[in-house]
Amino acid sequence: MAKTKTDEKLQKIAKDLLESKEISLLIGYAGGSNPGRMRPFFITKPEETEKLSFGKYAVQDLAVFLKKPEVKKFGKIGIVVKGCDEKAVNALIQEFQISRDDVKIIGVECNGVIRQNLADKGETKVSESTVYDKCLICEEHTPVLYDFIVESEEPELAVSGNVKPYADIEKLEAMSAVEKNAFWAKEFDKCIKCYACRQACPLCYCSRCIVEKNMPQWIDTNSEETGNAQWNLIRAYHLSGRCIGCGECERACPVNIPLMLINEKMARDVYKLFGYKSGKDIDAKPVFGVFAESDFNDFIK
Amino acid sequence: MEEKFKEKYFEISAENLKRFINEIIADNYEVIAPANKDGDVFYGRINRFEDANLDVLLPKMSYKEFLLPGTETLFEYSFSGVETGIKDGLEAVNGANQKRIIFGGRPCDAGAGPIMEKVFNWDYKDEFFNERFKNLTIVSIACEKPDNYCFCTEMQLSPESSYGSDILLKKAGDKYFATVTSEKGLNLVKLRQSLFNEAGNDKIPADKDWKKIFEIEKTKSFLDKNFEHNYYQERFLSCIGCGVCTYTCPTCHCFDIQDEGNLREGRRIRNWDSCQFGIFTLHTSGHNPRVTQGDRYRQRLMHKFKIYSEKFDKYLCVGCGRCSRNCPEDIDIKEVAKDLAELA
Amino acid sequence: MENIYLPKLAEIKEIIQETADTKTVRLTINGGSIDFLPGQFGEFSYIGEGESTFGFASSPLRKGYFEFCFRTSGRATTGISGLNQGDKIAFRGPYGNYFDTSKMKGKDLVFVGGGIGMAPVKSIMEYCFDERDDYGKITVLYGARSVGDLLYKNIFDEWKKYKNTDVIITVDPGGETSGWTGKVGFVPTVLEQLPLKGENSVAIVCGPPIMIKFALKSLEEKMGFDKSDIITTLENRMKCGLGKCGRCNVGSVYVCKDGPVFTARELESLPNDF
Repeated sequence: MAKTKTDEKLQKIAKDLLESKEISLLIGYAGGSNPGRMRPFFITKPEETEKLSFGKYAVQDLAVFLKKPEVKKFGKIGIVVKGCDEKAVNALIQEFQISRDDVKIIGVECNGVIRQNLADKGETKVSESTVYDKCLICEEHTPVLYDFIVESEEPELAVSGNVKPYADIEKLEAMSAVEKNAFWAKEFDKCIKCYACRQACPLCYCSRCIVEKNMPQWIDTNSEETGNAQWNLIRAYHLSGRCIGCGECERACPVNIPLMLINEKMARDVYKLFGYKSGKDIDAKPVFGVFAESDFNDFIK
Repeated sequence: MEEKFKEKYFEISAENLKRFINEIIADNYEVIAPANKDGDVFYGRINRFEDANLDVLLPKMSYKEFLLPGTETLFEYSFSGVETGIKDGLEAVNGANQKRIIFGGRPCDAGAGPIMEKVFNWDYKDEFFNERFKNLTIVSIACEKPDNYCFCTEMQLSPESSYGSDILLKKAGDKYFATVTSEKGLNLVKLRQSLFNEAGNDKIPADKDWKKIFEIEKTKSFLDKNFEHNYYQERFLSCIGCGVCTYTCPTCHCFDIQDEGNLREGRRIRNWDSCQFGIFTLHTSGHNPRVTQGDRYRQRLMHKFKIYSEKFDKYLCVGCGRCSRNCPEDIDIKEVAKDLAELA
Repeated sequence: MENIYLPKLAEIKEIIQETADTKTVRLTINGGSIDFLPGQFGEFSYIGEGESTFGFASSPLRKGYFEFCFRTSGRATTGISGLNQGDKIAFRGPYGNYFDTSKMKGKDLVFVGGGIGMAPVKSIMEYCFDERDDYGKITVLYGARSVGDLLYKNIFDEWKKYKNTDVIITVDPGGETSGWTGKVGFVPTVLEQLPLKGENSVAIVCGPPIMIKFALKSLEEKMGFDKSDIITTLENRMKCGLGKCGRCNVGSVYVCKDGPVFTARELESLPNDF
């Protein structure tokens, strides 16, 4: 694959950071297993930066690796982030999982990434109908918090409004409780309890997840009606007000549960009720970590 | 010992195959086939032939759940006074899959059955698996165009292998040639024998000369010599331990045993589990033999290409490539196996 | 069709509180014991709270009961710890290989146990006591972190009564009480001070990994034991015990089927996955 100007800039930044020993590990992207894929790429030596790349197939949220003990061991880390991924880094800083001083954020301007199942089938065009819904509502095509920034060469994503992102949320909101329950029961029925949604989430960092705690056994272990509903609900609640909308849980899910409908609905509700968006500001206190007298209190009867 | 079944050969027109499937559905057979769902293709029950997607290379998940359900009740229990009542879970499995047909799967998925069967029978016999496996009838269709993630040929199978299928169909223009490899397969044909024409073995189109791009024996020889190697720790830094590889794998069979219920009654179940989870090998003392994701991915490679093969003389992998296609971080096991073969 | 996961119900004949958090449980099935050999293990559970894997802790020659010992640590063991005499415990087994007494007959024996690791040692040791004339000199070295952590305190004297048998009890430095008459020192250190020779001897060592590591080193390097004459057990996490669930692999070995008993020579050929 021809090296783009974006790639060259990225490589230069990475090389300088590794050579000057400002970081000991750089997490970026490189070409993947087919022309429509990119993959996470870990670099410790300046001479390995040649393969570093970025583009419309860079779907992964690399912030997920910041929670990994094997990665933390490297100390100072450089990380390539899109606007959405940067919010994950911010949220990790807000929640004291990483220190701002330990990451060098290399922001890349992103004009949308192509849905992986389409890219696998050969889709090459970034358009309203080929990118993830998150790209259509993206407010940060250029990351806000960064140490370095690299511009994109992709044309700006044209949004006509004809494709409605997360359209099913409105449909769900219009449903009765019984209908909603039926909708989600059908979706959760597919769950196989692989917990890929948890592992792929940059903000699911508990060293011992609630499903691994058995005194008491909070969550049924079965992958049937009870266990699946309990797991999916606890996951959703644990991410409300925290999810930054990278969509990795839904992308990782091998049985296509529309997890982003839940996450996005939660995010909208939290914004409506508390005026808070996760990962926007590293100095803000997490919404459920503070109490304000002006908070929505109507539920106390 | 059971007498070895002598293969039988038939041909059936595409039109008659459709009729055959629709008629057995009408006869209350449950036909599981690749079908469109949620923007992808999954194995699922079809109500008519037209609902099957026979163009897709492979459904996203395997049909392992019909042999080893994600959750299986081993027994139910109840307490009354000092008495403990136990109801054997096998009773519910008796006769399972007798009227279930997997139709339109691929030779790789079919190959997974006999491979798992060895584990479930090498000493103690797991009748939960056996009853399901014995009764399930598998009608596979040979692949014409494997993709770059496929490596069944390297895994001692081939896109046209009949291993594990009761009937293997090979498409030739507007008809199919059927190789029937078992009594179960023959019984299925006999349901509508008139739709099939007997054909000689010589009529079955010869298998293509499928090329291998690496030798799995070399991968094994690397694993034999290298329990500790930087490759695992460096290559699998990008592994997030999500377990999708193991859950979508047709041969991964590791499971957990758990109790669930209340003070009066409940059940002991087994659930799919994954060697990719940190808690999988965590001792009560807090000690964990496999600390890093590199250690855990190594275990998956070891189990597939070394541990299983030393016990059972085959590999615990059919080369379907699902783990690679579905890996959120794009770890490609074919590429890894090839890397290791080259490092050997 | 037989369901290999279906447990039998055993009755609790007696419970002995060994330490603050450790108990010995004596079980019977229909008033008797079951057929097992020292070194083998079973899956024990208070149904509803999950199974736990424990090695047998009694001699199979002592009829009328079989024994296991557990420390309350998780959900399953907390369940068991709530049971009383007369209650039922679900049991599957026996599973796994065993100590090969044919290779021990006529030889001097050294039994080394650390903490709760003494339980499987007790099984083979009492088995040898029960056929005392078949073996040479017997040396028993048992240690724990502190006096309070020692199991089997009430039967040490019984062990000492067997002929040609030395019983040495030790606690880690700092773990002694004011009236303590036993030794003070780590098991491997005390082991090295004993007048033992590898010749015509077999050593059986069970305990925490760090103790095993150093005890094996002492036996091999200081006392000249052959690696084939040092026997220990692996305690990998298990679920099925039947060679199916894929949890206990160490290299190509299934600890539940090919183990849990291994010689130091066999361990040497295994990868560091335990």
